[in-house]
Amino acid sequence: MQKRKNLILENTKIRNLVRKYLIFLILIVLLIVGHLSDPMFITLRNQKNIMLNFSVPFILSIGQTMVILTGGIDLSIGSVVSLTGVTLAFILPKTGILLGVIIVLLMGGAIGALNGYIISRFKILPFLVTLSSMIVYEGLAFIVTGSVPVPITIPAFYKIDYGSIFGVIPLPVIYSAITFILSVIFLNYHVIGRRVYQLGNDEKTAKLAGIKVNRLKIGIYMLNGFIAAFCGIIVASRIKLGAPTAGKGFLFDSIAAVCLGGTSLMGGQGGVIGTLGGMLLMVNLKNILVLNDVSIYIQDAIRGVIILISVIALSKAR
Amino acid sequence: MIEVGQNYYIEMKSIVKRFTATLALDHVDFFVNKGEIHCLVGENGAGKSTLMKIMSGVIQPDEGKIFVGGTRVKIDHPSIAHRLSISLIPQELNLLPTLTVGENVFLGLEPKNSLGFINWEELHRKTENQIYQEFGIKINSRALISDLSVAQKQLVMVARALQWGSKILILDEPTARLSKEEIKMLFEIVKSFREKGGTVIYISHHLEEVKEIGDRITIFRDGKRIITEKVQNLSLDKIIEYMIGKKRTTRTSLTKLVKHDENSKKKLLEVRGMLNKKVRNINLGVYEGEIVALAGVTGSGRSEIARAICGIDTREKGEIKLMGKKVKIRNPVDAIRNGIIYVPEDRKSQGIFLKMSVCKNLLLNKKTLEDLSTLNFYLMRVFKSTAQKFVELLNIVIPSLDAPCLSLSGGNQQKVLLGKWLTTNPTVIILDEPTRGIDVGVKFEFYEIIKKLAKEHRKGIILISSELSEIIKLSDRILILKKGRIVRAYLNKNLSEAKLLNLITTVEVENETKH
Amino acid sequence: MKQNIKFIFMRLLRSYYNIYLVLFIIFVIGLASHPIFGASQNLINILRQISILLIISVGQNFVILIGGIDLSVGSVISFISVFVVGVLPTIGPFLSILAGLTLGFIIGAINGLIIAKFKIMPFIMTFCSWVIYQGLALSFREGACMNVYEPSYLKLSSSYIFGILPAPILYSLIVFSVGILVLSRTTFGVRVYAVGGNEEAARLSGINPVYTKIFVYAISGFFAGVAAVILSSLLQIGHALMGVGYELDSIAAVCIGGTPLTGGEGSIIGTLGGVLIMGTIKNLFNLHGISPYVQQIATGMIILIAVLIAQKKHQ
Repeated sequence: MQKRKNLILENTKIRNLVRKYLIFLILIVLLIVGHLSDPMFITLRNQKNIMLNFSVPFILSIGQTMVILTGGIDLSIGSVVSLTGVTLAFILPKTGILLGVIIVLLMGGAIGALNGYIISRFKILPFLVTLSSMIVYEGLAFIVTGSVPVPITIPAFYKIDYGSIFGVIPLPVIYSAITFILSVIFLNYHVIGRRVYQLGNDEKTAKLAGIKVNRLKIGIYMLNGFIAAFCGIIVASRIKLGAPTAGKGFLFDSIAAVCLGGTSLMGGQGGVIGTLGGMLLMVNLKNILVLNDVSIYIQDAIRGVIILISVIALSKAR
Repeated sequence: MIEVGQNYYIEMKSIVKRFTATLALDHVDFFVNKGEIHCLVGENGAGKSTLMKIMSGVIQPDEGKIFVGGTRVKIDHPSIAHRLSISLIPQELNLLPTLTVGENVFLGLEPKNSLGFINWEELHRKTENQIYQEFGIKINSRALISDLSVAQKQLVMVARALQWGSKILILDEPTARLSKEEIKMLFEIVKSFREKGGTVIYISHHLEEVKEIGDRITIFRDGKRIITEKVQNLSLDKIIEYMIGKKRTTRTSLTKLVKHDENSKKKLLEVRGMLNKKVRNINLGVYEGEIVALAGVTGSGRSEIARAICGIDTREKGEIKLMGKKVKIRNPVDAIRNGIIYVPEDRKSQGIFLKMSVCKNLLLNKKTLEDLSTLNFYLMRVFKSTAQKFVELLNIVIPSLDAPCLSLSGGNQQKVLLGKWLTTNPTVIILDEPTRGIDVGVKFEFYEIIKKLAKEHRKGIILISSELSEIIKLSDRILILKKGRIVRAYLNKNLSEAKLLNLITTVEVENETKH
Repeated sequence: MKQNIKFIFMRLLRSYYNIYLVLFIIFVIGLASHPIFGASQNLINILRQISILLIISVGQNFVILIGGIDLSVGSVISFISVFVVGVLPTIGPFLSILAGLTLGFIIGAINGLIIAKFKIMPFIMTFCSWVIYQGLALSFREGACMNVYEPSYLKLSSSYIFGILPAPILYSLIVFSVGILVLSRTTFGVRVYAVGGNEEAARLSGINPVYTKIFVYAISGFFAGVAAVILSSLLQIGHALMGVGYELDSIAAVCIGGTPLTGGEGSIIGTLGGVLIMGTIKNLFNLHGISPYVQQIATGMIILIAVLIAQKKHQ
């Protein structure tokens, strides 16, 4: 056959890379600003301090990234964290650590799977379903504890959060690293991870290609439930309590990190690497504000404004 | 005629498909060979797309049998069609925009190991190799779909079909948005596919393309297969005759328009040099009491012209004069206030508020709402009496003024849509497919209404329609559009449907003239 | 004229009868299960307690009708209550109330502007607002309670109409009536339903969806301001956590009332039913000493059930 004129497509790789990793550029800018505002900022001790409170929100935002990639959202993660801790406080004395952990992980998965099932079977907006879940499971946590935190008195359990590798690297950091690496591999190299992107891009096309969309949705929400329960275990280990308010405040940060990282709320675009950047940005921002003696409430307001600006900027870029 | 006793690759026998009121396919037989380019031709709604949707598993027939290679099959889902080596490449290409070319090509068939991990190297390499071998084109498999042109996207869809091992490609109006070079390239691809033993079913309105590339042609009309024949055995006129179904004289005396009669008639609308992303260099005028038709195939830019005139789409250049005075139309409100209205083609998504009452729908536009209210407050009484007037004027059949529009028939919904715009007392009315999806009886009512609006009420009307008989029945002047340009203009005197169809489907883009 | 009104009322009731039927059933259960329930004082209590929720739910209904949602109302209430009480000693009751209402309107308009102009999903935009205004409210005096000493201001919510009906009930009825009036007797209301029902068709009809959306969110913000004033007068304080929970409760009330989240249809009459149901259930639970958290669970499940039922009705 006659050789056609070569249609070499332009290398748009650079432009797409920038789009994907803009957040890291912003992060670098922020780090410079931070250093300028307070020389204490870039010290190892300060950065270590920052990372201590990084792990749980980060792991939660990884799960949230996957849910948002499918075009949905999960508002119930905070409540699952609380409920997990509360459940542990009650069952640990009877079941021991290993069995107890397994049980609450399964519970988290079941809650997630239920979310996913209602969403896919009845075609109700994920926002509504997980809003409902959030309210119900938080209420449950309060009822079970009589709104009073229940102490966890098994010292071996504390090691889940307090322990460290070689005495230097805290276990939570290991957890977040492993979760991050696994999720990157999953989303970029595993066929089911790719199905997540395909579903989020265009559900109809995915269905036509024979992808089992409903099963996939249930699976992702179930996975997110596991992740939330996992974080609930870490939190309970850290505060040594089963507290019905343990999960409050995690929800907004998880969504914020995902948005800042460039993942589209419509689904199909973005990824956990961006979420890493988003979360790093948020914790460093928080730290800078703290170092500069900004009231914690103004911090919240500023966080909200920044998320808003980044969402607007991202939607303009599309 | 079909040669009996031939061994056909795919046979569809006696296919029947009904869509509520209409019989889309009426006991259609369809036979396709291996290694041929088979063109499907017919007017809008003739049944060709429907039949191909059935063949590719998107919809199911009500009656009829399908045989592939002699074996009876039931194609319940597109994935079954894929397994039978049949792929449909629809007009709205279904690709995943934020993902790479390679991932789209291998969608569902990714090379993976036993644990489910994808071998990206292999995937991208195979994609680039395949496309280079089949089409002679070097492509970057890691490019994102959203960065590709329409032609390149089509290429990816064909590549995906080939990856699925398809031996039969169904192309639905593939050249609608392609340039001349891209069409040439598409033809090369199609021909090389045939050489390798593949079959292409090519649905198109562009008859000159059919003549150039087709081996055999099947012509549909009103849900029936009229004839299947070798392309070389049919002349263009014959094809058109089969499409239309009437033996009207093709030798018509054409009055090609050069200068229009500028006597005592008032020029209501004049558009000059209008240009935007979709239409180019549009010059047209509408006189009082005149019905001007815009004729062309899908994608020729008819609705786009209307939308540009009425401020729905932005205009980059162009001047609009109303009754001789220059007007600025930047958004729909400007158009309405200046007396130009556009009745959109898709009443369900663009015109009617299905859940709201008939009464409110009839009055739901900025101007009418303003006229009938004081400081935003309105009296239901006033609303209802105004609405009632138009219900009577257009003879709309409704259970009550409060009934939701959802409960009306298609024809009455269309009347409500028209009524809404008439309440603004417009000067120029642009109608886009005004009788689509309407029963014959109501259709004729519409024709009377349209004629009355022009002749009695002295409005200027621009009529956009895919129904040639409608254009011929109603219009005084006909403008032929092709690829966003007005290419010819004719007076509607002794024009046959056959000739009109010929003009629409074959006229080349020449030098533009003022109309 | 009278017959006309009666006819409309009957017709509306017929479309929402199932909600009011449920309300009736709950009412009967209440009467049967607890002696105090039917007492006039208790019933008046219920009405007073739902008055704030009703005001917010009317605003939320507007927003949902246009296809959006407003998650920020709770924190806007808090923010405005702190603001109004804060400036009260300086500029007096009349001006501070005026300032509070204007502030609410502006905040809402900003929400609407960003949503409409930048095409941001209402959920994420108002979520950010929620966080922002909550943070700002808490930053006033570090979240401490601010007491109200101005007697005329306190009289706003503590007075009784005809000696028995608490003023907040009257205010909520006024807001409710204004809401119904606007939605059913003004062309603005027609435009709200139009934009919510079919935005593209509305745009082609010459309606500007951006203006309509901005105004609707501004209404929601304005009503949040109204609620803030009434609440702070009722509770005699300005507090940064005053509005917590109203956003979710108002969404629940609108859902229960049969207005689908997709917009374009539904009525405030249904929302009134939803508010009454929620208020009555809450009251019953309280009378029976049931924990507020059980109520919470019940609310969560009711939302889901209401949405499921509404969806089934449409199919």
